[in-house]
Amino acid sequence: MTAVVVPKINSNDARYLLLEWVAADGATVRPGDVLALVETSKTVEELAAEREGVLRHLVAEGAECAPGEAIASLAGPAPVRPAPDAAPDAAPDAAPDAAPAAGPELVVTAPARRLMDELGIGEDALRSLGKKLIRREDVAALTHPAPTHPAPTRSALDTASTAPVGAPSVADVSRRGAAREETGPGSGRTADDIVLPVSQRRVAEVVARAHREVPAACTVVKVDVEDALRLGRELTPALRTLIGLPELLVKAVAGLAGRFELLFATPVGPGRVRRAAAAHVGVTMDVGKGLFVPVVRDATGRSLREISRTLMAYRVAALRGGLHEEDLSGGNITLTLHNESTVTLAIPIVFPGQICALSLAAPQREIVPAPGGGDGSAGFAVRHTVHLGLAYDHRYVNGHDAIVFLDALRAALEAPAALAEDPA
Amino acid sequence: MREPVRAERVSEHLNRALHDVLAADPAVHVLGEDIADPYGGAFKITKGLSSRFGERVRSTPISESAIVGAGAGLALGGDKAIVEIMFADFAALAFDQLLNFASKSTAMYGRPVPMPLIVRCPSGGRRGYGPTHSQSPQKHFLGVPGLSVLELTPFHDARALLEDGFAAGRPALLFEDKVLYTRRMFRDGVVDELFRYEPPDRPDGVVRVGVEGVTGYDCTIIAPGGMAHRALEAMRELLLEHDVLCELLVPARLYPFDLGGLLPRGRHVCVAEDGPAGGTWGAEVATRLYPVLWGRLARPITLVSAADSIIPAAPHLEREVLVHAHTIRLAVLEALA
Repeated sequence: MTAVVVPKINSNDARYLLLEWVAADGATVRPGDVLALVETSKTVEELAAEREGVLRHLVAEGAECAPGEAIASLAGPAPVRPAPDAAPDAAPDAAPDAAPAAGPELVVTAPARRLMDELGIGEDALRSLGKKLIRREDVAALTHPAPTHPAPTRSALDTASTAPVGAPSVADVSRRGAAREETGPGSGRTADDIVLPVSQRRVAEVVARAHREVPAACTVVKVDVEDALRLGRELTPALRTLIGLPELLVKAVAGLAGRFELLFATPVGPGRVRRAAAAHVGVTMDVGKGLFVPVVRDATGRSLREISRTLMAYRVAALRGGLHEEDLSGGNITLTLHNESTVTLAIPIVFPGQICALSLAAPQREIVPAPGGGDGSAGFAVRHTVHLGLAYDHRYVNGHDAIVFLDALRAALEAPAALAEDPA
Repeated sequence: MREPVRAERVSEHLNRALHDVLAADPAVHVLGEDIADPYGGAFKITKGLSSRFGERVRSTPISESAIVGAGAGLALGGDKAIVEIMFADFAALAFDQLLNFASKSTAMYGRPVPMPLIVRCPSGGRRGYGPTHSQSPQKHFLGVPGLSVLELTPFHDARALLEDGFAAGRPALLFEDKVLYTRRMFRDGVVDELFRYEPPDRPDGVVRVGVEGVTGYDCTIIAPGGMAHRALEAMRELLLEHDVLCELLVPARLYPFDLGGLLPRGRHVCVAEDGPAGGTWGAEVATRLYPVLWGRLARPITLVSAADSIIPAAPHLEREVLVHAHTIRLAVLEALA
């Protein structure tokens, strides 16, 4: 008999939701058969069988499960009924009470607890390590993504060496399970309480952390997008894919990764950032099912058409709830879209682990002096303009870099033909 | 499931050990001031012995030199003696008997002569007993050829320790931290929910306390039995508050000191004792460890001891002089900072 164990789907959630059993209890499954759907705070993932056997559910639909937890067993063809527990050994024992069914009682050091709170990791995630004692390095290891997939929420703290030793300050007092959901009797919940969905709580963690950790400043420029909008209207039917300001802007951003490497870098410690090889541009999407930031990976090497198709596929997936963790991770710069209705200005939040975030407001019509007629003699023209903002982590970037970067984007959008011609 | 039986207190454990030793070997005598029933000794460790074993357990006049001399005489004459000194401070009065008679007798009569003599010394402070009833004078008895220095611990079986001391054939001092008497023995390899211990390989061997399945430690603390609880408390705080993981080595024999093949697994080593600074047991331990650990140590071994001070009677002043859990904790943090 082997256990069906929940894999670690992402670095952000301590628990997932067992959304649905696809394979029934008692069903015989073959390798590759989908057993269950597991919902993280951002996506729904399929869990497939790794071997043949008779499936026995251990966890009910709708229950939470943690990475490393066994949610089912796969037995040989004959269904195995577990024997009732034998009477516990009556030998006197000086050890504390036996571990509860939820797993061994963990001993978590205060520095580890602080990091858990900071990263929103619950105890259940740590149980999967099979260790009784949880030190800071264990928590840090749990949050270290594989090198090919840097998590969007990785912070400089993760890569800091072991915590400096010193007397804890008052602020350091560990808060037990601050990141865990309060439920059950004594949680103080009443009928008037609105319990936010997991995805929103995840958003809360990220923005709260950004607010705590990132001393951001923001600079805004005005961009004339008359030509860019016109180009988009021409290219959309020609390329058979939607070309609008977001697509053109992602393309423009991607083209600047080499020139402004600091803005695309990842903080790895005080006074140190890690260079990125290419732009991986996260783009905010909220289609009424929560906020998602799918990432256009390797945008630097892609044509406008490819970028557009990628974004469209993400929109469709967001609508259908089909975004995967891999779509949402690995961004190194974020474009927040506020180009709906009459938004004139938005100040974005810098994602922890990134250095800057752009905001694109909605185009506005305004009367401007006609080109070449600075004295008004040539009259006036109506043009579309838009506010383009850049919030940046002021620990790494100063206003000058921000302005030069915004100005380069403005230049690219005001002469947009080059964006369309670039085959890369 | 049956309620686990609580481990016995160290005082009960030691009392039972004395009963067992006397019952098992009719050659054993116990001497000391006020040890006979109904009083049963200043700390009640000898309770019930005189009622049960009669003349083999004798209350003596107040003369440490005479008592230890009589004990050494019993040993020389082929019997075995356990002598209780009421307070370890007064062992100084028996120093001549130990240095010039008991320890020398093993080797000055032309052939090896076994000297099965154990001198029990309730030591240590933290009770507000003042300068002459609170000392930990172990260091004054180190380095005497033929004389062993032992210390009671909450890990080691006291009967085995006593019988092993007799079997060694050389006189021994057994220091017993008074505060330990009211604490409970550890058993079954369990210290608490965090720490486990490995029993010693011999009755006076070294107990190793650590976290199950962990082999790499930030620091190894070496401490005698009287310091064990304070070291454990420091270890808990170091781990839970600072993420600094320590192991603890507790020898029952302080001199001659021998780790018995157990090597400290920590990156750093700290030796803690409750005797005053200067010419300490810790310095002896460090000196013996340096050649063994020379290639591994990143910094000198940290020595923790009481202050270079006479122990005040006022509890709040006494606290400033003696070693506490936080003394060890700060020393380790400072060393690793």
